[in-house]
Amino acid sequence: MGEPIISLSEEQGELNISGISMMENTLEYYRDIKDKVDVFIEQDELPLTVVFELTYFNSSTAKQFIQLLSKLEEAEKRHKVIWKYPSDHSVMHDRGRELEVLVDVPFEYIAV
Amino acid sequence: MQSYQLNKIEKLKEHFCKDLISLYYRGVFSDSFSDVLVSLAEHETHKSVRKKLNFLMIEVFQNIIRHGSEEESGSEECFGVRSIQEGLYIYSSNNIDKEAYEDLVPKLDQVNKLDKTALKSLYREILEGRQLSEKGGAGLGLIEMARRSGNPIQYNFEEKGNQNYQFNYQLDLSAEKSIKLTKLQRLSLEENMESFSLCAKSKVLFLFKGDFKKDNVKSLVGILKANTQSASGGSNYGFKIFHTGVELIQNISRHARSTNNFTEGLFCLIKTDEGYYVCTGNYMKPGEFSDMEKHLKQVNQYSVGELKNVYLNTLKQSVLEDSSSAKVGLIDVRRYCESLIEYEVNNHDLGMYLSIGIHIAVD
Repeated sequence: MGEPIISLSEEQGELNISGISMMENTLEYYRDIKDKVDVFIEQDELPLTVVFELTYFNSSTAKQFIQLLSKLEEAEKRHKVIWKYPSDHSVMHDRGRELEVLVDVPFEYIAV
Repeated sequence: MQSYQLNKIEKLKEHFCKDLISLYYRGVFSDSFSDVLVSLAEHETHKSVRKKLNFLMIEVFQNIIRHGSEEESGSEECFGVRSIQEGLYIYSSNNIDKEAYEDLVPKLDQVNKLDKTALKSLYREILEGRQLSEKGGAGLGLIEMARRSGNPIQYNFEEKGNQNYQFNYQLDLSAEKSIKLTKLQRLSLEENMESFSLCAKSKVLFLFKGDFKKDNVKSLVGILKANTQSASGGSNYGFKIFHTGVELIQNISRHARSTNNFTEGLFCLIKTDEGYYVCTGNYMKPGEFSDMEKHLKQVNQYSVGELKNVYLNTLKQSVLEDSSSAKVGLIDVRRYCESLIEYEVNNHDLGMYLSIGIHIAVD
């Protein structure tokens, strides 16, 4: 509880982050996946799709997301973000749009 | 900044100043919370009686669920746990009918007269002989409470009219297995009732004073979520309260002073006429006060319309720093709640004490 489920499928070029992210030490929690994304972008030819499906994230998680998504900016491959949000939860939709403003990566939105 | 709601935090802080841990709960009583409350009450200094404390807390909490009145209105059920010096105190108050009252009085009287050995044989006798009553107990619960706590059950009844009684009782146990609490050391039920009536008068739904170590955050916000959801009417409203709780609690664990590995803090959820008031109190790390005050002043200066851009700009700036904090927690809280963050700093003997509170109106 309080920590998201993170899974990276290198064959499909897909990173999934789902659930709730509200732990305090987000820096430590997201370090490993940020490193893996670095390696993936450098070594793999596939573009990476980051699929978020969250019901909540705190402000220090927002910072980790920006750091993570910034890694997709520099590459020339067509990385993208799919932002899934609960259809009755407009705040989670808005919080996705706010992240989009801060990074140069295309976002697709899906209400679930 | 003077605030009627925020002053409550100072008062409650003073009132519970001798407590290592205080828990007061007047919310939704459901089985899923007993474990959460148990985890909040845990502490290193009473680990030798951990099992006993857990068992008794769950027993008392479930008694409220089992025997509490089924009517929503007018029921005054509350549950509390305090750790003060050598003693641990589990408190319960709930409304019962005349039948339950007449059943309880002789049982409590009997249980309190018996010593440990006699309690044990009475327990066996009942277990082997009689059948369980409809509501799932034949005094076994009371016997177990007296036996395991090692002290008589403190209790009283207040007559409420209409054949209703408020049943208040308290279990006392020593914080250390090998030590027995003396009568003088023990907190009296009356004194504890006064504390909890201060909480009730202050319209506190939930209070936690204790160690704001990381894993407590989840328990605290879980309680918050469940107790505000029914009033929420929409998930955006629920989000505001949940988010405010998370950010304010994490603010404590980041900025509160830690002594002997104990990060003391106070968290309160208060019901107001228009919604809820979420507030916290904590001693600050030395030297952090002026930065925090500056930050709070600045956050309050922005208009609601400006806050979104301030949030985005601050977040972007923070990305360059290698720490967990994004420095946008309070900005984010203020922009969703659309009210000012109230705060007050008082200089106590033990250091600078910061109280922070924010009102969340029901849409």
